[in-house]
Amino acid sequence: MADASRRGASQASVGFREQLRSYYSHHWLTFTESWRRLWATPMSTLLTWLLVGVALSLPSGLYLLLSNAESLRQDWQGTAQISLYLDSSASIEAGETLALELSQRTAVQSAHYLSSEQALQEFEQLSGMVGIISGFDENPIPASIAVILVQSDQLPALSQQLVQELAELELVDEAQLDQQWLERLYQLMQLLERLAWALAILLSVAIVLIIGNTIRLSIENRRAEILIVKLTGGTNAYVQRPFIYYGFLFGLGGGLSCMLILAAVYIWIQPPLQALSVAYGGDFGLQGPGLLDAILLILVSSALGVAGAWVAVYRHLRGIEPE
Amino acid sequence: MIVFDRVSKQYPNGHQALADVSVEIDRGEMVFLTGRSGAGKSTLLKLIMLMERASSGEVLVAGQNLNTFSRSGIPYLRRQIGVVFQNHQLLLDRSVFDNVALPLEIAGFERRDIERRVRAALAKVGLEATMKHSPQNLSGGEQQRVGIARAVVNRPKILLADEPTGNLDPALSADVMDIFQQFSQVGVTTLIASHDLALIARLQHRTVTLQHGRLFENTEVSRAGEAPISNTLEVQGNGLG
Ligand SMILES: Nc1ncnc2c1ncn2[C@@H]1O[C@H](COP(=O)(O)OP(=O)(O)O)[C@@H](O)[C@H]1O
Ligand SMILES: [Mg+2]
Repeated sequence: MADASRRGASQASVGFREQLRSYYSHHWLTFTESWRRLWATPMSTLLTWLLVGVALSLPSGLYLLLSNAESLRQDWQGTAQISLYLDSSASIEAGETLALELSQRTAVQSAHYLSSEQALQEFEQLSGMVGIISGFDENPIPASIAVILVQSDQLPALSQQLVQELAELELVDEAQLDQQWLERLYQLMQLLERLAWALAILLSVAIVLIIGNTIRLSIENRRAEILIVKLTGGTNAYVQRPFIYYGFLFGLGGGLSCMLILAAVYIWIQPPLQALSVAYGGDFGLQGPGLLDAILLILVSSALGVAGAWVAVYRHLRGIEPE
Repeated sequence: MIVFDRVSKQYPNGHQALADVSVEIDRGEMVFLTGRSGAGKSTLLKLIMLMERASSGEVLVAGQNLNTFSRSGIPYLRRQIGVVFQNHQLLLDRSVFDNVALPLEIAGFERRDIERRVRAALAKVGLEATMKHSPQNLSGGEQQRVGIARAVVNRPKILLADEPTGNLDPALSADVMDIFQQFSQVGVTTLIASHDLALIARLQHRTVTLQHGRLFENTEVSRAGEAPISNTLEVQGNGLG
């Protein structure tokens, strides 16, 4: 009955094709109108954008940092080092010969011998505890060879194999693959990644509520208009359309302001980062967000804006009926 | 065009605003709905617009039974009906043109047609010149005429008015009623709620009177000033109202 009357009514007044064209042109009109209204109150619009941008920049900044750490970790996973601790009976000559032999191997980039005296001196220098260990009868620090492996894709498997092989050598007391810290870094990153997700979820909810509240206010401001539109035959879809666009525009602007915030922070931390990189003889730099990241961020933020608008529309607009 | 068949309306707070009202209004008729304040005039109009639903009985509008009308169908019913209110209900942040264009935009008309129809509607109420003005800069009578232009711009079959002259002085009221008469003469079914009995008496149209939510009188007025054929219904005393 209602359906029949609806079809009857729309056909009687306007043709379908015309109505479709008008539907799209109304969307466009509403969109430009929403934009115009947002700019009518520039301060509050900018503040909302900033608020959304700040809320988004925390999890997305953390995400960026993590993806940088991940690529660093993968780089470093390639530079494995094996420490061989030599038997105390091994002479300095024997040790040096072994180091030379090892460095001939194709899998090995370099091998450095460190006598137990040198190791002690280094320890004393680093720790500042000169003379403490000379109290011992014997030097407790063993001689060692630091074996640095050649970069390769099969390195993880290869280095495991090599460690086992080198541990079998007569002069070698113990062979150790120095990757523990990489594992710790990995665990730390997993922790941070979960934290980033938790932040992202919490702040997404916050953004939905912020935008929902802003739109609730503009629904209240346009109450009279909503009532008149409903009285003259405006459907719910028609009435809510401008507010959905508000949500979209708030989200879009928030995403863009988040990009600006991240870019500013990125530029700001460049100098100390470069100094750090130089100090470590490394060539690591921070990767900014890629184009794909940027697009994704803006899509997500626009979607959050639309979600906020729906919350406001369902909670506050549906209830406004002429009496 | 409009049929009320034993309609009652009880508001959620228990107040009985209409009781057992049966009225029929034909296509192109002009009818006054009168009665004291609180008699149920506005309630009757709201039932036609589906701003309220009947508690019992049936309301038919243009052959459609409103009892079975779904919520999502309501906007399409309202597009067939023009309404004028006591306080013009214009949007003050928009021009006269935009106010009158609103029902057409909602119904999805093209810009060209909107332009043409708004001009025509404003011309009919004699306000074509104020098109670009804000409603705020118009007099009360002019504002009410803009409200009428908005009500008729979509060429509705039915025109409802709730106390349209309530805020106007007698001369302006007569002007406004004149405009309603013109629309009814071109076939628009017109129902006007008013308690301005003097004005109603002069205009000589059928008058439906409510009292405490019941139909009290349904008076046909014949053309050339003949004595009205009164059809007073017996009123059961009730303490409501
Ligand atoms: N929404 C409502 N809820 C409860 N009672 C109402 C409501 N609207 C109107 N009424 C009551 O119903 C009666 C009829 O009201 P109304 O139709 O507005 O009368 P009129 O327009 O003739 O003055 C009045 O007593 C009024 O107080
Ligand atoms: Mg009333």
